[in-house]
Amino acid sequence: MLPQALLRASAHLEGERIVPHYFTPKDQPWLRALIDEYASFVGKRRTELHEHLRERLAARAPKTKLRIAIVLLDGMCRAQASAAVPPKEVRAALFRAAASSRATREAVLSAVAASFAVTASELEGALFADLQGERRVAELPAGLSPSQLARHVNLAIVSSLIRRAVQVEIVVRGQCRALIRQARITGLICRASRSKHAPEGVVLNVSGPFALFHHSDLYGRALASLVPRLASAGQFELRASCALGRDGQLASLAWQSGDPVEPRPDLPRPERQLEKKFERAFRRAAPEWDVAHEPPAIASGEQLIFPDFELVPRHDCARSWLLEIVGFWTPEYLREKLQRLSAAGIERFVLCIDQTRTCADLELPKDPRLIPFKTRIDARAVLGLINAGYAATAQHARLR
Amino acid sequence: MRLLFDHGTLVLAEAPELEPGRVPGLLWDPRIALYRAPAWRYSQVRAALLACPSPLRDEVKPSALSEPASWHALELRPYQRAALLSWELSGRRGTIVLPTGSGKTQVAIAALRSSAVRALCLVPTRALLEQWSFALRAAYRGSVGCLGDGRRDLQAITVSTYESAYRFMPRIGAQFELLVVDEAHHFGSGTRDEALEMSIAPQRLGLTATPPSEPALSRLAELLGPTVYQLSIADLAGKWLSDFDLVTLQLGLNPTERADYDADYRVFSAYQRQFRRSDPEATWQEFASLAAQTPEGRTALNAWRRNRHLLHFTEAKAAAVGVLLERHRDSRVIIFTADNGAAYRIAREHLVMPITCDISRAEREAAIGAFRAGTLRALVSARVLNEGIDVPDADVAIIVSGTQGEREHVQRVGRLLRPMPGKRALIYQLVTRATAEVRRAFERRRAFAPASAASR
Repeated sequence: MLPQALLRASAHLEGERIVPHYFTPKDQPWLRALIDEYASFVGKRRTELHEHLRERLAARAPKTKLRIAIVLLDGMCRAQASAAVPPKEVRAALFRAAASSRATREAVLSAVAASFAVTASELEGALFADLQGERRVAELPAGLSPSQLARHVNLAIVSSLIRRAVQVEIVVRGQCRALIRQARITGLICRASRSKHAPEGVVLNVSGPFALFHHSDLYGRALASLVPRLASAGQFELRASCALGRDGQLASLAWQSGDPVEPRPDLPRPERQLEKKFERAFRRAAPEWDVAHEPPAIASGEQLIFPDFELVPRHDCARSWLLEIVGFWTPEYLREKLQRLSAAGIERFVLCIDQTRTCADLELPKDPRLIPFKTRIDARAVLGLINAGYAATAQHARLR
Repeated sequence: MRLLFDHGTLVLAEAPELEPGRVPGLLWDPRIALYRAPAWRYSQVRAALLACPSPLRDEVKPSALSEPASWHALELRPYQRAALLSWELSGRRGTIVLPTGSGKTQVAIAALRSSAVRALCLVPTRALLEQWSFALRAAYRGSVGCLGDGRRDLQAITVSTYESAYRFMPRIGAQFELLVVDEAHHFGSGTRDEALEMSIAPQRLGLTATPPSEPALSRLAELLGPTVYQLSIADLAGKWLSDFDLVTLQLGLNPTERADYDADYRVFSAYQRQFRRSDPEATWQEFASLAAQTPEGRTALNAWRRNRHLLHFTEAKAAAVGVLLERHRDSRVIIFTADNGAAYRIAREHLVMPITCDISRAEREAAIGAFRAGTLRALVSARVLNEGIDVPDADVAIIVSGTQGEREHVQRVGRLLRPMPGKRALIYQLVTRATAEVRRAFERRRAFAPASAASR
């Protein structure tokens, strides 16, 4: 993320449209020079590097873009402390010695240096060697190219702009499960539907609960956490309403696949402890079943339903059950969801309802497909429900 | 109708169609097809819904945490009793303005005790998290929860850093009926306000020595309640706070510094005069914002910044610090600078421990402990020591420079005023002659007028 002052300088408004100042191939000559400067300062003090960069860079660089690139590069090479003796121990000894002595500064330094078996100048060098500005410049990631740096910067610009978003609409043609999971885990409201314009596309409307009132930084951060995942999601188009202007007026940001942004394919799958625990417990309770993550979405009218698990009996793979953990509000919502599932002909479906988060004492609709939970999902109850479902199906078949 | 807490908001389910505006803050949320309101409006929303013909089932009430335990008896000073009474009479919502060292935490503990409800105390730093936890444990019979600094233990009485409260409030916002906000002037503008917005707590108490100016003050009144009681240093000095002498030392610039200062001053003042002619009423923010849009304006602002930086730590100020440290060798001295750079220069030159944001919390605490014990005789700090941290035994302060104006000055002076028998604090203010610092130093003195005079 970029600091607020740099964020303002990294885009401008054209009417109600936000135009990000992306780094382009034109910036690559000075980015090359900047990367080379960092490489030549490895092992030297970071403040020295910054002072040098303020003075001059081999290639002419736009001032604001240079500051943005420096922020990113500083983040990429974590500077390290380099001192003859541990700075913290030096401070503890030196300042106490000075307080208890009437000797001159030089005499105090020499006495304390002797106790550390170093020279006075080594002791002075170590005094603040661990502080940010005094730390030594470390190596940049191997093989970092100017174009790669530019795409990293562009990713930071987009993330920082989306942090100011109230709501985003994303059309994804490709894998979107990780996005939906990330949105759910971070407390965002995410509605998924089929795209009217692209049959294979999914439209995600994502916003925080506070979006109704004003922009919230907390949920803005949650929206920004979708950006690196989206960058790796294949084909997509994003439109965000961002509170960028004065007095929080909204402006629109468009971002799509093909824009020069670095993808992050190495991001781990967003996971909840609750799900991990359920999976472990279910595998123990039903060793003859397989547990599959993120089965394909199910269409239910215009909406799409994204189950969290598919529970598959090895003896009869065609008769698998779907399970969704619901972040839910009211009984009406559940009744409607169950009706939609029934209308779509989906009977082997379990909805696990978190009672502690949103609806402590609400009465759940009477439906065997609902399993309430507080701290963990009861795998045995899920298995019991599935077995009861089998028995009912068998009885139904006998009656026929 | 059912009222629920959802991620820092209130959700109304099973509701009939409601006239717009009937329930304050309640809006229709088409995403979930239910009504929604921000959590901080809980009392108003609940009251309005109870007045509706349809019955209301309130599912918001805190239930996960146990009832608070009892409190030990507490002795309050007369003005602390008056502050508490004012807050109670204001419906247990409002901000109390008392100077540093006057025992604001005691007032807060008295408020927690008299309310006897689940409460979350918000503090700005991890050092204050420790300090508040310690004070609460001494007064409260139950266990005190802690949120922040790697800990996540929720109890009926919990202390949290602002940052943790901000992060966790969507989940814990319905657990507490009273919010206590220490150093409340940090709220009223910015993202921190979201922590207050996402809590249902109907009772709220803000504590500060320096209330913010408008528009933050109005926002603070909305989120915490209005200022319900206010005293200044002058109201308490001599009896409840240590008496003090404020000595302003007017220092010069060396010839190079003077030449640089005058050159930059001419550039800046010429531009500012021209600007003032076209817009005499503009605030500094408006001026700076407009100036940043033109090359001449940017040149003027850069000249102003260079001058400000120069005045932060002039050669004369550096020399004066040395002289004063020598003169007060046997006292405990705190040196306040405008930036960390000056703090480190003093630390290197005079072998004084710096307390800055770069120094780890554990090391800072060890240093403050050593200062308290007398094994360190001086500390130098840019901002970290400005507020909150309890440094009871300092008796001399050297204010080299500052960037935050009157509020910072009051906070810094307050560091010295925790009373001790026979103590008279001495505060040196270093000011550079024939520069803008002289006027600012004069303006800062207004902060020490009695609260009644200040409000006039």
